[in-house]
Amino acid sequence: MSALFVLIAFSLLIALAFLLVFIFSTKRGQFDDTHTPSIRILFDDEKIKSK
Amino acid sequence: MANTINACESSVHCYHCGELCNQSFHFDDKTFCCNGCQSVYQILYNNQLCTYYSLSNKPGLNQKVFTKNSYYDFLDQPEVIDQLIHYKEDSSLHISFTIPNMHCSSCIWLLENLYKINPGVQSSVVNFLNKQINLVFDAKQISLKELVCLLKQIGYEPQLSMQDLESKGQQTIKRTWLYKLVVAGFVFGNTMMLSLPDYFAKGNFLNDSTLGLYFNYLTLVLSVPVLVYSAQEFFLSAWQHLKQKKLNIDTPIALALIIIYLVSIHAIVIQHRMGYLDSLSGIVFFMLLGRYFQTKSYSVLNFNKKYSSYLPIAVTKWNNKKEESIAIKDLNIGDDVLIRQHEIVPADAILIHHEAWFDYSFVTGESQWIKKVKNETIYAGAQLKSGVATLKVSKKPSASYLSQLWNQQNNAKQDDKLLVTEKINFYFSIAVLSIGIIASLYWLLQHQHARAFTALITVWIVACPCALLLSSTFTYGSILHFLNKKGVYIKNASLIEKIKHLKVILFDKTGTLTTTEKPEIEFIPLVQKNIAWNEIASLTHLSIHPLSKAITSYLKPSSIFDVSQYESKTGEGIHGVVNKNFYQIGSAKWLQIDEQSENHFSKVYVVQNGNVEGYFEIKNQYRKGIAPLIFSLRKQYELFVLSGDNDAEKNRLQSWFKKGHLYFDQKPEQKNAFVIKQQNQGFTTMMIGDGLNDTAAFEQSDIAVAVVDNKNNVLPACDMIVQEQSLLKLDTLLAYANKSNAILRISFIISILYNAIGLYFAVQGKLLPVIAAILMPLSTISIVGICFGLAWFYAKKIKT
Repeated sequence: MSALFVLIAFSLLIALAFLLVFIFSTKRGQFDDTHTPSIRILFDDEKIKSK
Repeated sequence: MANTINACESSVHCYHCGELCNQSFHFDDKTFCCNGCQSVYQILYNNQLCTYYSLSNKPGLNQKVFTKNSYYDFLDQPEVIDQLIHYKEDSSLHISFTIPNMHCSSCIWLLENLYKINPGVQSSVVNFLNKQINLVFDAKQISLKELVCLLKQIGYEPQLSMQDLESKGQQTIKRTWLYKLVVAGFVFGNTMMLSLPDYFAKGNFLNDSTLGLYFNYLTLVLSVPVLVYSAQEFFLSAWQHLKQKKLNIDTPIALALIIIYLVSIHAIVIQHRMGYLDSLSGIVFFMLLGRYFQTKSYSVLNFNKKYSSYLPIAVTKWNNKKEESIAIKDLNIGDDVLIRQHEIVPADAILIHHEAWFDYSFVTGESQWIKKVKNETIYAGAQLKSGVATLKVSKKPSASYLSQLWNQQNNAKQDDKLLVTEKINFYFSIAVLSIGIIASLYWLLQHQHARAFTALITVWIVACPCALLLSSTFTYGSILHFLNKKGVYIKNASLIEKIKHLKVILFDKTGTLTTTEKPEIEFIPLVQKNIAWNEIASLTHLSIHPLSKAITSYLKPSSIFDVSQYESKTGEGIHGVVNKNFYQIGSAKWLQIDEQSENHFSKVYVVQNGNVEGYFEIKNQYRKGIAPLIFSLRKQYELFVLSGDNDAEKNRLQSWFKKGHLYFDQKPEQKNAFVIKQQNQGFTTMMIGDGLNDTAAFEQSDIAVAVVDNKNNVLPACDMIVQEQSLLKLDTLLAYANKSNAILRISFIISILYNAIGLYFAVQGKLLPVIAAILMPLSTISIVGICFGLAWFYAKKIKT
């Protein structure tokens, strides 16, 4: 059972890391606009035409 | 490269904007309707950005109306730049614009490829739903003015209004919401996990092992951020109301949260038992979720417009006989300003020009243009319709009649009445609390002191009005959400309650009952002869006046002739020579014709070589399906028409509305008085209009509904925005909003049931943390499910 002391602490740390990643990405604007990226991904890459 | 202008078959559509070409411009084997569209194409072609045209069909917007580049001269002033930009690093400036023209994926693509047109643009990112573009540009390579002009050139003129100078920072509010929510969610999940072993071991696990103690202290530490950060707003709002000696919906919540936490500390530290901390973070998480959901659905729309958002940022000032563009806030009394056609007067001013025509519809609601002569006062908000006018500013823009009107209305409208559900909720919590006191008194009389204490405390925990609060936030939230999908945007939940009491609906005629486009036109000949329609159309299509446009689209010319000596007299008419015939097309007054007919329809006379040929009669076109809507609404509500126009349409409207319910030639004050009269009789009043006229009556009414079409991106200040095509379903949509009653009742019953179960255990002093931990999420999830499910079910039944 004593292993749990360490394991629970670790699981909490990992969960905390995910929380921080989420907060960090929100701060960077990741969730400000959830609509435009869905359109943007459909744009084709440039075809370079020669005149 | 062939670049020609010639008359052509009119069935060709413009390659850029898709409009029918009357006159065509050719470039690169493509046809364009006007020089503007062609030049946009040229810019894109030269920068190899023609992918724009392959992403969606005819993505461009018509470029016939153009503002001069010199209008943007004020953007060269350092103070204006400082106010507009977000921040600055070296020479790169960060700025964001609202671009009303943004409407399809091509727009996104082009705007995000701006750097190909001008390398000075370092980054451009579009937020499509907010119609916003965030730009980073190098001020050394491209100035702010050049940037705005570039956007304008490619057809995406940014909207620059006074308001942009004043407020920023909506994003951060939304983000803070999210932070609070995730913190609460994180703690909820983890404390729940740490509590589970105890629940499974029926309460024996944590009591006697060091591991249990360790878990308990962990939950205690984890809950701190929930209490001090996530639940902050409950405490703040409760405290603010307490300071004013008032109780609000957040008072019992704040109280319950503190009690739960204190009881849990007591249980963990002294009694070495489990607390109710998982329930605590769960309550906070679900309540935040409900509020987030409710605010999210309409965060995109800006309902609280200020008068300043209608005014431009800058104006042209006459300074020592030189034109100079200055920011409106720098405008001083006594300055001479130059207003061009279609520009808005920024401040109350005196006309210096000998005469000019103004459209006052925004200020007073009158749709007729008004002629003003020298030395008359022009109020801010009026739009100039005739050529150019010079004005002398008589009041600062912030002191204008318009801004006073605006502030007056806004002060009058601010009321923070409790929602009915909030009231119920409040009384409910008081009732539960008194049950708790009675229960503990009972146990005290039985001399079971410890039990009396637990009973009191646990009843308070149950009383945390979580379930009830959630049922209203989620019901209203989901109804708002589904109405959004149907094209109706409502400002906030309290309006849904107002809709329940709705008695009187007032209609504005123009733009509401009638369509904004395509009027019904008839030509009434006054002489017996064949009329050369194409010659008339050749003339009218050159003019941008709405009546000329309507006549052109009515005539559908098969060919267009060259026009010489063309001249347009604003507010009067046009004349020119077509095929050696001299035409005059315009008002009877201008052409000095005696009007004989009695009706008041707009008439446009046609005179060929001095002989009156006849006139076009232009009737308003009513929206298709408006009559069934009116008959359906009549069953439930009292309907009135308040029109600022003359009674020309009286006969037609009379068949739809009750006798005596039609009011014509209404001045804005009369409309306002009418609304007040209805309200004094205790009727909840809704006014439906295009929202740009009649601001006074509009703001006075309980529910101001603005009808907008998709092309018109100007959102007026109002309570509800209805898209044009949704207006015809207004009856079913109102009925749907009223369904909230039924949904609320059902979810109330369920939450009371859960509360009863909780109370059953609590009054006996037997509410174990495990019961609380089961009841709380179960009740929340079932209520959320029921509210959303029923709202979805009723929404599905609305035919689209």
